[in-house]
Amino acid sequence: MRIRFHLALVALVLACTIGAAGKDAATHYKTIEAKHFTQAEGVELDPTFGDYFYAELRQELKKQKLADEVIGEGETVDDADAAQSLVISGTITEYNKGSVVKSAIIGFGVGSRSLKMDANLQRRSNQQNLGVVHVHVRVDPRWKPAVMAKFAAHQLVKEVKDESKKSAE
Amino acid sequence: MPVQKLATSPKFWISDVIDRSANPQPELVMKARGGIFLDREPTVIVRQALEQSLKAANLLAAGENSADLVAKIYVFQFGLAQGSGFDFFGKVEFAAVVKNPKSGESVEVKAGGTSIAKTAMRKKSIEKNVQDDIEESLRDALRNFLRGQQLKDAVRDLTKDTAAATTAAPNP
Repeated sequence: MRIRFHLALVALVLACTIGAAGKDAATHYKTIEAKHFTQAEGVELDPTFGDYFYAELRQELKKQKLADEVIGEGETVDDADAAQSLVISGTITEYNKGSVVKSAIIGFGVGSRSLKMDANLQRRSNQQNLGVVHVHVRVDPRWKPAVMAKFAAHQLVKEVKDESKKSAE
Repeated sequence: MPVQKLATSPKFWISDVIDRSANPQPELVMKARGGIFLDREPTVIVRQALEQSLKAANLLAAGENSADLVAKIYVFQFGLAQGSGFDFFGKVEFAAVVKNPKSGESVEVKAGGTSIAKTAMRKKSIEKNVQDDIEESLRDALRNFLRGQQLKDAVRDLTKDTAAATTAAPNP
């Protein structure tokens, strides 16, 4: 009885592992290129923010293992891999630096520093649009904008992962 | 760092590496905790890394006279940049002016590399993390340069005449 139970348990674990591997394979890319995000008119962010966000985004893409390789901006890709390669570009559409006074007096998220961005996912070979991701991040106004870049990159990659899973289905 | 496949296989020569960071202490990476310094100047490190990569791909000329393309490197940033404070943000940025000495034409190729590493409490760990961070960002910048579309286009444009002459010449 006990042996049967153990065999069933092993079979269940194997089935789950194979299923998960199959799901990952469907959304796995050969290369991902992240581009520097542009800033829409009226967005007043430090120029260093763009570089830091770009670095964070690449770091997060590496961490999440969405692709075999995360390449830099403007790097070449073999023609054979181009169909399985993704390019992420985007625009920072809105930035509100928030208010420390409002945050301290009212609280409950009032006066938060906020950032909105749109990211486009494109297949490298034929420029096919694989989806658009909208990200909205809110942090404490006392924190540096670079901290916001960290959160934004994390959320963006999570959304990209979900979007690529959806498009694979 | 492996170099991309170029249309022709020109021999490069690094003529000069110039520091344009406007940093009065280029070897000082971090002031805090008594300071962390590089063992050599950034220009020396960049030159050595580029020469090693080109040599490994058999694209380094023996001398300036025998080179098909001569590159002059301008280093704009090498070391740590301002980050979130929770980590080390390594950044290497340089531009290369690639020149064909025969025709006199030149093209600018930009390259940049970034890396993020964890902070630490002990100075020994901080030194290790900073070193890893800078090495990673240098590797990233070299890769961006050697495998970039800009270099590919520059080589194609600058060696257009050489490639045409090679194809036009009759086989012996």
